[in-house]
Amino acid sequence: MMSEFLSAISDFAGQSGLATILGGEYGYLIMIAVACFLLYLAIAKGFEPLLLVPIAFGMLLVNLPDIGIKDAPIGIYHEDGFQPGGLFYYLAMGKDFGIFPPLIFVGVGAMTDFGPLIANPKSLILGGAAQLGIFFAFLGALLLGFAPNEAASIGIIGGADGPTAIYLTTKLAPDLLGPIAVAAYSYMALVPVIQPPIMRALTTKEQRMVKMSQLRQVSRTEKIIFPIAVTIIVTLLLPSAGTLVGMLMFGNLLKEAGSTSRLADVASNGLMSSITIMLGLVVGATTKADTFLTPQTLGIIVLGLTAFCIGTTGGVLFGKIMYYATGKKINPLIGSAGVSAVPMAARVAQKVGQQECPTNFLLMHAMGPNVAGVIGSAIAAGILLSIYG
Amino acid sequence: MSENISNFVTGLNTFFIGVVVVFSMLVLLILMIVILGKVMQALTKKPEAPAVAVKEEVQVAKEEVAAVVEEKKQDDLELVAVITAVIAASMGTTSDKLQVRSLRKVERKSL
Repeated sequence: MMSEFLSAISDFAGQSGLATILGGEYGYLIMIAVACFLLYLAIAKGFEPLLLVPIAFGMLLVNLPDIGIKDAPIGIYHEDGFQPGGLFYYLAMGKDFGIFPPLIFVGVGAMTDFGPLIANPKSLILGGAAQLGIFFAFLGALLLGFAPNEAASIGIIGGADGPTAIYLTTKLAPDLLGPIAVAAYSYMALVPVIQPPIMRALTTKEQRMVKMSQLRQVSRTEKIIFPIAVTIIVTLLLPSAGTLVGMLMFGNLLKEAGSTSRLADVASNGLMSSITIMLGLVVGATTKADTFLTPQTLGIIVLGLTAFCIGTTGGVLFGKIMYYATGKKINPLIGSAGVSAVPMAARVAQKVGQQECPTNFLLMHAMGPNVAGVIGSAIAAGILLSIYG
Repeated sequence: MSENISNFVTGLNTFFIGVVVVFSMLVLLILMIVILGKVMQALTKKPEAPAVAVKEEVQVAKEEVAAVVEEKKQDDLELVAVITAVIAASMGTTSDKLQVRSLRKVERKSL
């Protein structure tokens, strides 16, 4: 009796997650520590908590051994011996089949005001310049030995646009989704840390102090026609960018049309939040120790950072070109906002500008390149998709 | 390693296509926005030109209205005198003890 009881206990202990870790799977321990560190950054330090908390918690859950939350179902539904899969197995379909990222874009569109961009269309160039990082990192990844489709997915990290990176990676290199998604979202969260030193290094004090003239008023009709026209033009010329750009513009139209304000409200609040919860959890869940802790991941994280820095550099340098071209009327700092990361990148431009001159308000001017960056990285993703898809 | 280099060389192709396409798309969008802005300006300016004419018309109309109002005032004075006299007569007093403060037209709606 006693021995039966003891053997039951030892069986139970042998099946526990702790036994797996003690059995030599130390990778899990590392990932649990990383997850806890990210939770600390998100909650205590306030680094993009809305994104980072779901991602870090997904990371934590999936790295507790034998949780089975990602397991595929066994057998055939309605037949004997069928066992349904884990929760994340099903939720991950929204990510794997490219459903969540475009829905996030509907929300982003419903929150975005394209007014500053319409008022100052030249800022679209800055949004394009910041995408240079994508293509440079793509070349770097090729040199490091990544296959072209993988290199394309790594490069898109430089767009600093999480949903776009996930969308492209699930289509081109699903195996790399974990590290790419984590890198993309981490760099989005780290915009206020990574960008300012580059911005300061590339500009002079005089340039940073440029005050820009007020933007013209944009009529409601222009704001309504803009999303419709962009959708038609971009999708006709580059169909592969149509899904992302189309959903972004659809969300924006809901906002600008006025009569659909209820839908815009849902898209930018309820829908956006629910999708973020699901997407964040399943993105975090792609970082299971056995597939995540590889030298490849390290390479991706380094390349992603390089891409992001080059993107910022490209934006600021083009900002400088425009500074000279317009007779010192454009503050080159707004170029750095051309990496998407709405609206953090624009806020960073505002902050760095204000450090030089407390009465300088660059935020609205930086929003132009910032939203242009979203369109730019979606277009870049479309190009990569049409070449390697 | 040689494979990496050959990948890199074909990648350069993608690099140039990518950069060129991104920029030309964005330039196209800039053109679209500029044209849209111009069209909007033209559309909102058109009613402005007649607006001047309308103003003149309004001025003319105002003068006419002023004239009418003056005529009306004279009419009203006569009317006031008549009404005061009638009321005075019916109440059995003199018209200097009554004062007409205002005259309002009653809008009769057919019931």
